[in-house]
Amino acid sequence: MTRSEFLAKHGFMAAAIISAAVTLAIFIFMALLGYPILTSGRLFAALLGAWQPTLQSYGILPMITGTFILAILAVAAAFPVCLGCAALVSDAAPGLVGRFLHAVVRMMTGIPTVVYGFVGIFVLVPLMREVFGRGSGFSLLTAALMLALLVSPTMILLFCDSFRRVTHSYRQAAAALGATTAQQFLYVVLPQARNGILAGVLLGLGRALGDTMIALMLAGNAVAFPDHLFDSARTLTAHIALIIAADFDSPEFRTLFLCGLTLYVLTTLLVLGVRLTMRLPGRRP
Amino acid sequence: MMRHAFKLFHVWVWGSTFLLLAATGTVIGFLLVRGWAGIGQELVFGETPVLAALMLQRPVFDGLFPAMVGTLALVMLSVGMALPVGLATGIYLAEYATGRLSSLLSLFFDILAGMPSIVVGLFGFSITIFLHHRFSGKIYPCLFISALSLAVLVLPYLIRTTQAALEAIPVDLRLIGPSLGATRFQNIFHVLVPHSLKSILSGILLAIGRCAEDTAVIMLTGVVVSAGIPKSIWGNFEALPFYIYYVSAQYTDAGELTRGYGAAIILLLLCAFLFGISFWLQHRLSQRMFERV
Amino acid sequence: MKMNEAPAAKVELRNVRFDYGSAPILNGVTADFPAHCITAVVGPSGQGKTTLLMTLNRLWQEERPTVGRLAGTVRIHLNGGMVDIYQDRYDLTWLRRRVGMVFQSPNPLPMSIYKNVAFPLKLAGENRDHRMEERVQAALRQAFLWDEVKDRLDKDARELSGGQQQRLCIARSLILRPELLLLDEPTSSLDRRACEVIESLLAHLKESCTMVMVSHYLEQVRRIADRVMVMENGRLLPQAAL
Repeated sequence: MTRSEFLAKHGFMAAAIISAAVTLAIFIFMALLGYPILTSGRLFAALLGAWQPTLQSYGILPMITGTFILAILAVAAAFPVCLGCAALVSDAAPGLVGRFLHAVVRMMTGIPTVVYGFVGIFVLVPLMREVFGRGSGFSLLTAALMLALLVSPTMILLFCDSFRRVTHSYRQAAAALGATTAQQFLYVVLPQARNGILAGVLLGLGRALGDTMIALMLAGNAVAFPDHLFDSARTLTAHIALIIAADFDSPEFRTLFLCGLTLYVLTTLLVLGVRLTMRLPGRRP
Repeated sequence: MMRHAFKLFHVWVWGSTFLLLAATGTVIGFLLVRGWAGIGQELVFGETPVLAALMLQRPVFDGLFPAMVGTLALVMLSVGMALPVGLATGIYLAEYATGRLSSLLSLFFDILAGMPSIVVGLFGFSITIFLHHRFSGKIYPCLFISALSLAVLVLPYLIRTTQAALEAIPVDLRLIGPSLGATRFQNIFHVLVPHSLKSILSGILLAIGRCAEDTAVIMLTGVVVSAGIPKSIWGNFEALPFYIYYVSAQYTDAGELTRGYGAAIILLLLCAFLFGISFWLQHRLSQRMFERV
Repeated sequence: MKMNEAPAAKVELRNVRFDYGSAPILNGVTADFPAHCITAVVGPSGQGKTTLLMTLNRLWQEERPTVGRLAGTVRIHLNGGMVDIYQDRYDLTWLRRRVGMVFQSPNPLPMSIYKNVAFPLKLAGENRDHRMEERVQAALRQAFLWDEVKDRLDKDARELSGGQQQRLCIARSLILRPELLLLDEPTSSLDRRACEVIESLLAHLKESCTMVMVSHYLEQVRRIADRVMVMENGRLLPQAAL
């Protein structure tokens, strides 16, 4: 191998190592700075306790709850709409219309989350207040609806991808037997795309869990456990954004890194989950 | 029962699509309706004359210009940092790495790709703390740290698109170079990468868009509401997405609110513009690459 | 069809076996290909003829991922002596500059005609040579293409017809003056006239290099091959009469 080949290969390898190291570094820094809490023996209290400063309790469980409920709500609301839309774009719509819609959906992925939050404050919040007449309008439901809108384009594109991968010969066979578009989709495409749909849902969930701005701007940010959909709630992500301005040595501050670690672990679990869908019986997504 | 399901199918798919488009349309429409009137020179430059502002002779107060410059500086710095590393990593994954190493690295990058942006911001913040204590007490959250954190955020996009683009190259194209005596690097440089330029470019544009629109990362690493044009990479800066957030939370008068709408429209237009440029550039640049030799 | 005159062997294959991890594709190939001759390899498709060619320039090692395995010896007479091309220290790029390859479908690179032909020179670092233009012209003449393209050397190569593109690919693989040229069904995607031109140029090439050609067309083989071998069950058998 000549010198330039050697340099090239090792240069590329170095870049890959740097990139991988960055991923690890994020975890390490969170752990390092959150070290006091992790080793203080109060880890469980921090993770599972409620946030009540007056009682010296800095537990992040309300935020964990908020994160989960919000993400699940958003994905649950988005799922049927996304599935239907994807079905239209990839199967049910005539050629040109389908391609146009696909392009439109792709453009939608570019809408920034802060814009959704901004519009949410001035449109959705008053709307929720009027229609449901409970609370200030800043609530889990409000945030979940907007979040559903945020994750929809990504989920639709993923579903479309897995529909398209369904073997053409299966569709052809069904069509030749006289199946309508609806029947083709429901009997052939959907079952075959099961794994891809699951992967899409997991990725949507990941996106919803990790969003900061919509939760911060629309969910109310109260630190108590949410009792119902119209309650105000705080997510881990919003919590980080709010507490960052606190005093460096305060106990509240230390919980930030615990939040970061929790989010890191959740992300990793989701990624592993998506990888598992590749191994499930049935068609690879 | 199934028969009804089939009839409902078309209602479902068209209805869902309509619902989605209507919701998105409402978001965009609302912004345009409320904010269009405010668009103009005053929105961007305030009271300051345009030329003086552009030449950086006079500061702009009630205008978006500093935030726009801040966003621009941020994007250029962060993509500039992420691009070489991301591109090289993607090439390594596609062309050099084998089997288990490849899978392991892939896993790392999937995790990085799924990382919530606020965690990346927290990472940037942690780095600042670290540097502050270990190196210089003068280091605070600043443009550089923000750009570095954004680089970490978009790194997986660049890696993925480069890797996917190279792996999609058909076998017969891959073999031409080696059959003529090209070394692996020569093949990558002269044949494979030029062939994939379109896709790689689209990844870059995606990364640019992501940097321009992100709020969570910069909130933790140095963005402020008014800092003027960024004077040095070690200082504070303004950015469009943060301004939008700030206005929504703490606007004091109608003027500020209108500016908020205007900023949102500008940010939206920027993202749309980037997508448009993506298609145009893909076509032109990849042709031009082959004229060199 | 010439009778065996026992010319010096250019390529020696001894008990070559090749597989992709399961069923063997080459199952003990032992053969000699004589120098300055065209040896044709015929046989039903899917028998491993292309694989056989690729063992001669080690191109199978460029597949990602590389799962093929080879056993046995492959020796080629290069640069004055017989060389075992699978020796570890043997430089792959050096090998492929001495052993050229033409593929089944023409595959010009997205560049001008001139740059396509000159590309191997650039790869070998020989493009500082001011005789580059002469060498490009010589290669195009050898490929019977010069007259047709001399006025439009900077046009995109993909604008040429199929037959012209294939001759371009031949010129491209000839510019480094290889001693051995491997051809994988070079005319199968072309019409009859384009075919005839290429057959004629191949016959002329015998003076300067040895050729191993995979072909499906027995007529073609009858016309230009000096030796014919049949690939069957992973083995090569000589076929003197057709």
